[in-house]
Amino acid sequence: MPTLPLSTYHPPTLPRVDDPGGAPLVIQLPQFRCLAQLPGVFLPRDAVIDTGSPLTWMPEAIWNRLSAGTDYEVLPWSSGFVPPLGRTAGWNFTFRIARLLQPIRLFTLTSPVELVRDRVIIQLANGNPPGSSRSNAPPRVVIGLWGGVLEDTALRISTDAATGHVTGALEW
Amino acid sequence: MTANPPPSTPEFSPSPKVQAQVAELRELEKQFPVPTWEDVRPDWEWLYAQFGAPEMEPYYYQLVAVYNKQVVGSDPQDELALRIRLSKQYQIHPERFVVSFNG
Repeated sequence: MPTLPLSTYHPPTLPRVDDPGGAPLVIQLPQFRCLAQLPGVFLPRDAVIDTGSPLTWMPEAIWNRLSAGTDYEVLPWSSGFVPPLGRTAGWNFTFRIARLLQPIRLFTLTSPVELVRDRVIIQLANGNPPGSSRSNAPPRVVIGLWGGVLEDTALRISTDAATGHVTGALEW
Repeated sequence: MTANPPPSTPEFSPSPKVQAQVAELRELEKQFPVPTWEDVRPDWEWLYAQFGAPEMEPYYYQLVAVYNKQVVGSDPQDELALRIRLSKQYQIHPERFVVSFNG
């Protein structure tokens, strides 16, 4: 079974709480990340696996480097359909739906395994997340549940016995 | 009685600012040798190892740019502006910088 071990990001400062049952408890804030090689962008971009995101999406700062007609095609809204706003933490945005015309490749630095998916449907956000507030999402590729990337994979979440840190891997 | 007005379609239009930044990046990219994955990989490895370290605290919740295993710049939100600024400052290809979000 191919397995892509994901990179676990931890912020430099972790919250601590007092646990009435014992020692202070460090609250982990892990994120599962990988690198995404996109069509039309010759070096990879940061990506985060977000199972709370319905779609794979990227801000304009990233997708504006891709070429319409070569790297992606916009899928027009059906006649009469009024699309909802896209929503992520601290930001609502308009968007288009597009299909990548070249494969997207997910990989990490620690494994030769790659997850390659073709003709993936993605969400192109109009603009970039505002960054002045700590609650806002940063500009990066967000790998969501539907559209052809994560389908038919399993996200395995474990705890590293040596460090106690959460680790993640995609299996398919 | 009046009918509900038809819902308006949210506008979608490329940002003039981003389009200008991308055009500037493309011009900068023509001026310098194109970096390879082998060029940038050590910086990705270094950055991943640094995440969570106290040295990264000043850059928490910012985009950080790494070049030759050093943080050479940061920006709260604008990756394109960061690449443009550093490319001009270091006189190298804008894609040579590894940029990631520390948060």
